[in-house]
Amino acid sequence: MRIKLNNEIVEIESSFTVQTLLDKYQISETGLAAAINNTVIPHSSWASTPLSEHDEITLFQAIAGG
Amino acid sequence: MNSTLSQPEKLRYARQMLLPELGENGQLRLKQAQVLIIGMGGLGCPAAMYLAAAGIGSLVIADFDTVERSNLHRQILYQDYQIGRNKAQQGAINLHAMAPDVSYHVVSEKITADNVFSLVSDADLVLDCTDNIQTRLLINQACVNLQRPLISGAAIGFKGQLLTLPMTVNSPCYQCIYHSTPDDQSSCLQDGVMGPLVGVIGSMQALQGIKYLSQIGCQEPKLHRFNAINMQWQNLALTVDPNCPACADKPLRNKDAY
Repeated sequence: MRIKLNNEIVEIESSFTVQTLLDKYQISETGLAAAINNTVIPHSSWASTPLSEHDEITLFQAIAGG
Repeated sequence: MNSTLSQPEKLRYARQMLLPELGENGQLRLKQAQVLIIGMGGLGCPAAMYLAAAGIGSLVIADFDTVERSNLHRQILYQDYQIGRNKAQQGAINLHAMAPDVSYHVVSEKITADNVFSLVSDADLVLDCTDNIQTRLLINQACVNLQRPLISGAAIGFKGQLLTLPMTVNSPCYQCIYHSTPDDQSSCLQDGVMGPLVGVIGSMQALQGIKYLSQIGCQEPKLHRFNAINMQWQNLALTVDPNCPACADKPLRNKDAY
């Protein structure tokens, strides 16, 4: 199925969760936040949150500067 | 007299009191409020200036650092000849020159676990304008424990984040969003930052603060991400992490919800 990952269309298996997506792309979890369709998904739900066709996933880092 | 506005105050705040959402009641709420601003750098300068100008009753401004020449492209509260002076002390002097009705309290010590709780406890609202992750975690923990609303700003390069955390029962905290934090956090020192970008984020911290204190809005937890290259905002809803290291075992979490 197709989803958008940080505004780019990618093809993934329909069984994917947030966690398997991170694993597939080998994305470091340190300081990382994940959102599906503009709602932030807490870390403890990543492995249990399935992705659906056309979901828009945003992955972004904490920033601390000021 | 915190329960009324003087004639000079009514004149000073006339253009914002004209707004039906604020009015005289909202202005009085601002006058009765105490706001803690931690960090008087690129975010804290515009945030403090707008809050002082808006007539917040009491501003507590905290920064242990001194003004450096390399700060001045973004820390717009300070004058060139004030290089070398403590930011909180000099900030209070400069803010007083602009808005003398506000009561200013200076904290020129570093924020630590020893002083953060009493400072947060006295505040109606906390603005996190700091430049490092350790202090951000400390401020978040104090706001969680004491259930104080937190408006957190951050900026680096051309990216900004504005986090509004009301800290009401069953609303998320900073660590519900960022479960782990990098040790080698990028900073303005290493990576650079665009001056007007911190101005945008700091000004929006003040805007959110004024809306919160005057009860116009800003009661929902939200994360706003800003990309200053393509000028796009992303507005994100937030949810509680039941396993959050900062708030899972605190009264902020209503256990009945799980």
